Amino acid sequence: MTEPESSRSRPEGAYDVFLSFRGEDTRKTFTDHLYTALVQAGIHTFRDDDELPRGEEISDHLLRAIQESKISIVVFSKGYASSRWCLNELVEILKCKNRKTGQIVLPIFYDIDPSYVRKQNGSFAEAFVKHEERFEEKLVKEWRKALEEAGNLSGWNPNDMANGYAFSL
Amino acid sequence: MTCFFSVSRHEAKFIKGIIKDVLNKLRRECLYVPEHLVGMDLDHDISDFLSTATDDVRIVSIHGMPGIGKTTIAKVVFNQLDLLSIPGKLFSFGYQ
Repeated sequence: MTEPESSRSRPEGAYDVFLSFRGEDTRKTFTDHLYTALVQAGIHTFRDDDELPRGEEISDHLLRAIQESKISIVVFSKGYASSRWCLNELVEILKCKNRKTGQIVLPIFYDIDPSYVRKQNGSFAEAFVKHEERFEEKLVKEWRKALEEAGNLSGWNPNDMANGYAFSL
Repeated sequence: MTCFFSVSRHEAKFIKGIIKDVLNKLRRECLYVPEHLVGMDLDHDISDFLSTATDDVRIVSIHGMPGIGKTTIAKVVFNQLDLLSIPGKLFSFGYQ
C-alpha cells in the first residue's frame, strides 16, 4: 500500500498513542486504568470504543487516528478476536507498522498467552469458527495473519516473570 | 479482598512499567537542540544521504573543527528524520 504524502507529516492534534482493546473485556478495568495513567503522564491518547455503532468499514475518523499515532498499544484479552472491529483495527495498525514510516506497536497480553494470539488457540479459536461461517475467506485470512504477526511482537505480559510482574486473574 | 488488593497493586506496577516504556519511546524521538539555530538549512543534504528510498544501512560521517556544531547538526537531522518515525534509526556519536 502506498502512503499518501499528506499523512507523512505530523498534523496538529495527532496522537502519541492509539489504544486498541475489546471494550467488553477491559473497558472498565485494565484499559481504563491504563488510559488514565497515559493521560496523566501527558501522553496524548486516542481511546476507541468498540461499542459505538459502526458501519461495515472502519471509519475515516478512526483510520486517521491510527495513521497519525506514533505508538499503537493493543490490549489483547480473551474476547479480542471475537470483535471484527478490533480485528479490522489491528489490520490497519500493522499496515502502519509495516510502512517505511513504521509505527511502534506495543502489544499487551492481558490474561492471555501470546501463543493464543499467534496461533489463534483457545478463545481465539472459538471466535474464528464463527468468523469463518460469517465472513469471506479473504477477510478471515487477513485477520489471522494480523494476529500471527502481532503475537510475535515483543510486548507486555502481566504473567511474564521476566518483567518482574506476575499476577493472574 | 486480599486477592483484589494484590491484583490491583500488581496491575498498578505493571501499568507504571508500560507508561515508562511509552515515555521512553516517545522521548527518544526528540533530542534537545537550542532554538534559533543558524545555517541548519544545509541539513537537507544529509537527509538526502539518509534517504529512505532504499532499505540499505546508511552511515553519514560529519567532520570538522571542534565547536562548529557537528553534534548539533546531527541532532537536527535526527529530529527531522523522526518526523517520519523511521524504525531502527540509530544515533551514535563517534569521537576521534
